[in-house]
Amino acid sequence: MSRRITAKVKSDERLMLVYLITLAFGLVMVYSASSIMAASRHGSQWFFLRQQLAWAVLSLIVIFVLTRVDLKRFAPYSAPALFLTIFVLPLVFLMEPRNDAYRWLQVGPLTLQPSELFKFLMIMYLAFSLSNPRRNLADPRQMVVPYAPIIGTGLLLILLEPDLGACIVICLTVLGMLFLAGARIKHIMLATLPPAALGSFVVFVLGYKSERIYQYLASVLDPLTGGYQVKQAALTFGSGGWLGVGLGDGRQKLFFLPYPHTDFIFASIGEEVGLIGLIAVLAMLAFLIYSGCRIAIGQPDRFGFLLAAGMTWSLFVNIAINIGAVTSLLPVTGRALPFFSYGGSSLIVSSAAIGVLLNLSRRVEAR
Amino acid sequence: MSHEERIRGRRIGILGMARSGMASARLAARLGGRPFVSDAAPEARLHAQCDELASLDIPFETGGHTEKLLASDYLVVSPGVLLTLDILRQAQAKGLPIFSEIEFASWVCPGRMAAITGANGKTTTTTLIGEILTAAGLDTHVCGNIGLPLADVVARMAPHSVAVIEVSSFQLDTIADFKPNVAAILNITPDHIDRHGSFDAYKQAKYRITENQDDSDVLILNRDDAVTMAGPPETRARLTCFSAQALSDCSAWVAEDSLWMARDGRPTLVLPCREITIKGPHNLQNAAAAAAVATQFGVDPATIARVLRSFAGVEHRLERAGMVAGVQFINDSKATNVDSVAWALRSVETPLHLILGGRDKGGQFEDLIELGRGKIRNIIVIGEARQKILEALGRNFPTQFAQSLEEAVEMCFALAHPGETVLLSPGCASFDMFDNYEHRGRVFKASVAALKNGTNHVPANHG
Repeated sequence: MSRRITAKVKSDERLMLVYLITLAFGLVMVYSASSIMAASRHGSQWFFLRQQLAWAVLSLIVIFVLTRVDLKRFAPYSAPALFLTIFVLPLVFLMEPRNDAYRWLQVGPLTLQPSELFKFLMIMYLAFSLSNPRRNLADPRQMVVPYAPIIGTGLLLILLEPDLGACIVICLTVLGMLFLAGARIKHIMLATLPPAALGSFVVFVLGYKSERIYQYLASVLDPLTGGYQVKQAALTFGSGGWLGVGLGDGRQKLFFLPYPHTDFIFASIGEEVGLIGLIAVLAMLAFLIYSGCRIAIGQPDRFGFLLAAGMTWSLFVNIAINIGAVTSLLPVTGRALPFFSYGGSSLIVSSAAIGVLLNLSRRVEAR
Repeated sequence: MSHEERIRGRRIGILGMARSGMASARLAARLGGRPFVSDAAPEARLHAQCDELASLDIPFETGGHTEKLLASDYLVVSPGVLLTLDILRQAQAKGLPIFSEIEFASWVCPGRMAAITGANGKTTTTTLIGEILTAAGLDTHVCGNIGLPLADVVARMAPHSVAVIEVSSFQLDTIADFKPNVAAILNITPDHIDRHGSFDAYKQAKYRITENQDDSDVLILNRDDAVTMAGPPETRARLTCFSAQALSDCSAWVAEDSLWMARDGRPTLVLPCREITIKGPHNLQNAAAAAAVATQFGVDPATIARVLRSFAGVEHRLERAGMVAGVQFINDSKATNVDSVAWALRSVETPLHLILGGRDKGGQFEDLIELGRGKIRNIIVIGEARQKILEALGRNFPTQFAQSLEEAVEMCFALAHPGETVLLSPGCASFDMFDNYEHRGRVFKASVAALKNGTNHVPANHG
């Protein structure tokens, strides 16, 4: 049929271009936000940039590989791979904690967050499994029960690290994918209750981060009354104004704003390039999300649709949670801003999502 | 006023440049009328039509309907045009008469007319009647919803010719003097409620087929259709029935596994049912209806039997689309309502994998639960209506979504065992994913052909 003959063989070039611009701008901002801290802590202003540059190169390799494999052929392996990850996740508890959390795995010179790998493989697996022709979308025993043990175990391990932000992203990703697959709302609620109950229990009964929740509720009304981080972020945005104070000239990163190059990089960007710069960043991210949606809708099969939509949705959730926290719309949960924040796992997994989308963009039918 | 004078010199506003609109314009121009054609689509999509109208010196407008249309003496609308359209509301407010193309063309039809309406089986029955009358040596013109508009056909007809017209209830909505010599209402089910507003309005629209008939005409009803029999139309025509059951007060019926018809008041055997090529209980009704209509034109039982033995059916209506690895594929793309799906389920006798979905027409998919129990193995759903279908049927049958019809075919094939059937009987309109139901049926058949050739037709990952 003509429709198939006109199927695109080349991947989405505009998506790749915008990704590269995002990546480059991210590197500039990581350097700007981190150079002074790098010089004082590590003796070289280039320290964080050099690291991030290495991750960026690795990301490009990951994308190169992901655009050239037959995802549908590898999809069945996502199930055992996800299962193996369950055994990798607890290894973080053998490592040195940072900021009282066990989120990182040190492998030689590389520091990795297995929770990011878990998230990526889980999307693959859900796309593969939910697109099985045999699956009955109306049956909760087929839509919720089979996924509960493996995803539940992973979530529990990540919650213990503790990494509430990653848990939230994974939960929302799963719910989003169940919804996109066609699960009935009633069954999605059924799947929502246990994690919601567990979350409430941990926060309000065990008291983990409960202070932050209360702070958050106060700061929604007035960011300057919130916790230290929220207050500093608000001040950082404020000092940037419309046009910013200029690249490299930000003052808040001078040990006022916490994590200026990682979780709060969006505030650093706001200070140095102002509202205009933030709008540019949001436009780039919005284009990436838009491309993902377009690619998902154009997929010829269910697997491709769910994979593209799952990757895109997960990216969106990540972006929303980070920017929401930095702008004090949401409580602070410690999520990196994809493509911008310093940190290898976030950059590689976010880039891998782009790699998957680029791969799938070649299957988009010209309609 | 003679019928031709209703056209000569008149300003005739024609809505829509689809086949029937163009045919109306040609007919009007030929008979000395002053047609003006208007279409809402942009000219870029109507090049061929605009060129033809220009060559015939017929004025037209594209990209929307303007006041110019309201300067006509009356309007002729295509069957696809909604009467709730703004311009039509304005026309109605102005007291401008609105006619369907069939009404318009019937004014100048020189021969006899057999009009067939109903919710399901129209196309098969109309085609079948056309074949029978042709076999009986009559100059027969099959037209209406089937493809050729009546307005195109009347030019070629003589006083001894017969037009066999498939008429939809939308066309009947806007008739005034349409007076078929033989009218048949095959059945009435809630199909086009979305356009008619209510079931009763829909039923009344169907009954309008007989409103101008008199005692020189014949109205044929389906004795088996509970809806029709519960409130048959008032008519001045001679009334007769057909039935797929043993009811000998009909003019065609089934008894002892054979088709019978009344001839000179006596039951006459037409042929044993197993010799009829088109299968399924619905096709038995269609055959009986065709026999009942044909007998009104004096066709003998032997001719009817000969055609029923050879008539293979209509494309996209329970059409066999091929056998792959012992799995039978059936293309019923023309099933755009739930009742047609029910008929399709009745006619398939093996366990089946059903492809449903498209643009919802307000059908009750729950109606399929009883019929499908023990028969439907899986349902694969496509298109806009998929969530609704999942809610309606998911608890009773394993239901999964597909992204495209091609993928649905592949999924069904992966699920089906040899000896089972894959049935495309969508129960919905096609316009969310296809140009029309024919397009949908062709894509289905192409997908089956691709399976047969072992080609992986979902674009593969390259590299």
